Amino acid sequence: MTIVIRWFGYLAAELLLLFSQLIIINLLPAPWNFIQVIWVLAPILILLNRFHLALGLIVVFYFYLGLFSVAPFGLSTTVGVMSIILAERLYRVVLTNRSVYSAAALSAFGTLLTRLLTVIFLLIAGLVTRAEAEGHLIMLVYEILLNTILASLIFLSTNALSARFRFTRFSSPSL
Amino acid sequence: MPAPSRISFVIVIIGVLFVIGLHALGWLAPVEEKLRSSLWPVSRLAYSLDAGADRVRDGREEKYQTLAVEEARQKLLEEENQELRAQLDFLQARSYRSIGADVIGKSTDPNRQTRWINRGALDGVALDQPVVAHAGILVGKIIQVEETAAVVQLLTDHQSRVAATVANRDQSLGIIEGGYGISMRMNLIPQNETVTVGEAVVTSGLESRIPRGLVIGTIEAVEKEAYQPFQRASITPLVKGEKIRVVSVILGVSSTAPSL
Repeated sequence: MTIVIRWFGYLAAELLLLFSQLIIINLLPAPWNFIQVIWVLAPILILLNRFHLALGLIVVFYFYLGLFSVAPFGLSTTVGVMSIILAERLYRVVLTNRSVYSAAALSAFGTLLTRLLTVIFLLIAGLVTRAEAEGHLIMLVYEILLNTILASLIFLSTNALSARFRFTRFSSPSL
Repeated sequence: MPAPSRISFVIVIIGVLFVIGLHALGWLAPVEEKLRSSLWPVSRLAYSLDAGADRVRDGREEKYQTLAVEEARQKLLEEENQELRAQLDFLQARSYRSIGADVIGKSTDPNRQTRWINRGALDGVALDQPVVAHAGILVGKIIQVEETAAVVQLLTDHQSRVAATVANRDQSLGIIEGGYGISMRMNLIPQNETVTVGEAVVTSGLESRIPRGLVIGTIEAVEKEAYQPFQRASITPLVKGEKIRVVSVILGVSSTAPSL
């Protein structure tokens, strides 16, 4: 029964993410429509050691988003999966602690990687010109800024309400 | 918690590649169609609410747009009348086969100016067909077609290119290019031709599926540098593509024999 409730929760979270991105954020004026809601939530899940959940959410999220995109099908899913895997590596190898800085860094890294890999692929495939690729990179500045701020705000508010972030993986009992 | 194993990464990547493969083979099409259509009711409602915010202002602009279209058409027809009366008769006799469509959402690429419409291949919609709004103002063309839906690339999209002509004495040809949703420019206008602010810009008919004479906008400013082989012009669109809710797709030109 608990498993059923848990999976129902995952499904609800995924639907909420998709609804936020496709219906609300997508219709906002620029630069607000550059927010990638998945890269606001995924860093928090990584910090909560729920990487597999983040990975699952990203796969479904980008698959569904890909259905409404004019970019080649599968590009966003592939790029999203690569980005979340590398973001998780970054957290384990470099950042290591749970702090607002880690949340911000993971969000910025994920957003940067997703956009960069997309642009590189589109350039290689000849689907965008160099000038158009530069346009993508201008957008990246807004994306990183907005996603990082939102991820930090969510981290801080979660931290204020819950104790789950209030220790680091490497904290010693004597501290 | 233990670090995620490499095997799980490999499984996920293989899974993603498998899904892409199924898509490429077309086996996922029914599922994709269902998933896509499941969102349309909500998407259409949200889009209508968003576009409806400007409803009052749009109502006032509609009068101006209709007048501007009539003026541009009148001017174009007058010039053509002076040159080729028979051709004008043919143009008057010409009628477009078209289909109405509702705009049901935006694409998920924030840097693209594209809209989903609720007509697709089953309705006869095909790639590169022109899409018009109001009294025949070109707003874009079809760049992606699914069974029951299609994607319209607005003229303001940065990848949009439409062959156009200015309704001036020289009938100056050029290419209309979009600029990230905020502007439209007409490039490649020959340097020796005179283009004046306020002149109408219409489709040139040089593209196979886009008929001549669909109104695009008016000249807002002209950039003419002596050392450049071509001049450029900024275009004021007659309709805001971002706020359109109902459009018509021109499927083709059904011609009747001119009564000469």
